[in-house]
Amino acid sequence: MKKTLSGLAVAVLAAAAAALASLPAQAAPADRWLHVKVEDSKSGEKVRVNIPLRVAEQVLPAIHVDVLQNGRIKVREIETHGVDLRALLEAVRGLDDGEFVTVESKDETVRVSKEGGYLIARMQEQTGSQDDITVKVPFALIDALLSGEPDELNILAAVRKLNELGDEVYVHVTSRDESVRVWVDSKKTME
Amino acid sequence: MRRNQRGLTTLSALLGLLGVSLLATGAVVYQFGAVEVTVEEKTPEGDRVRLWVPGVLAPVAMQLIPDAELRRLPPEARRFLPAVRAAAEELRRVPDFVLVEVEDGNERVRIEKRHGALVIDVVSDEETVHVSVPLRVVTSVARRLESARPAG
Repeated sequence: MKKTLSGLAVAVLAAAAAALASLPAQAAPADRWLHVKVEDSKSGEKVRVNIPLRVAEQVLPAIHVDVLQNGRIKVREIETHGVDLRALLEAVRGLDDGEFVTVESKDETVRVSKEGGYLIARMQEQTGSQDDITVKVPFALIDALLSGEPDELNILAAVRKLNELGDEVYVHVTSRDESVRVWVDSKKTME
Repeated sequence: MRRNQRGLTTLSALLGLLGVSLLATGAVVYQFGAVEVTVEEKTPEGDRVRLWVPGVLAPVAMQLIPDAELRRLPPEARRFLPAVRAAAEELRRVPDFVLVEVEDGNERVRIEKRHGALVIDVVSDEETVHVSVPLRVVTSVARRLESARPAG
């Protein structure tokens, strides 16, 4: 009788272990990575940087150097040429989607538009280096950046927001000789 | 006969203890990794430097340095210690990856996290440099330097 009970207990434990093993493992949140890629075809220089956002989140609060304290930068340290960034942002946020700044000259065209929650700035140079620069910033990221005190940029909050947002290319620069790309995704490599 | 048996038992116990100690030491050394520095100059008479130190010695060595000496660390460097420690601790938790890669003509610099260590490789026409520092060692050294705060 005792042997039968022991055998039964072992069988039940084995079945439970097998059932637990067959359950899908609790997936840990995938690491998100900030990538920066700069290539200069003229000089052959290539720079590639991959930063795990999780690491950036932990390191930023620990940095206490002149302008950067606890993951925040004092805006007074940055030259804003008297422009009130928050007021400007609120004004833009209130606008409907569309292009609201267009500057066309002989050498270059600059366009600033609002599209589906993104602020997009594009500059195309017709002469010289023939730069084509696109900067795409989600308003959610700008909100995070301006979530601190009025005179500071909250870099830490912005990094946390980048971690939450989907895969996105934020900066794309192409010119005759150079290309720059800044983006976030879940891959630790650039391939 | 009994004395011989007792002698054999004692010898076996001592050998076992030695084996366990060696295994434990090996495990600790393996866990901490090793600090590796290799510099090779690419000239016929060029210097060749190779340094290999078990990482486990770093925290021990740091404990032997008097606090007064550690407090002499410049304030500019000291300000970065919390960030260095935080980075090392967090880097240990992420998978191996290449942090920075720079190629400029014949010069190549690569900084990566590999097998629990921060690895720096520089290859140029003049020399090849390889530095590998276990992240555990970085954490331990940064922590020790932080603990020796200047008075006031």
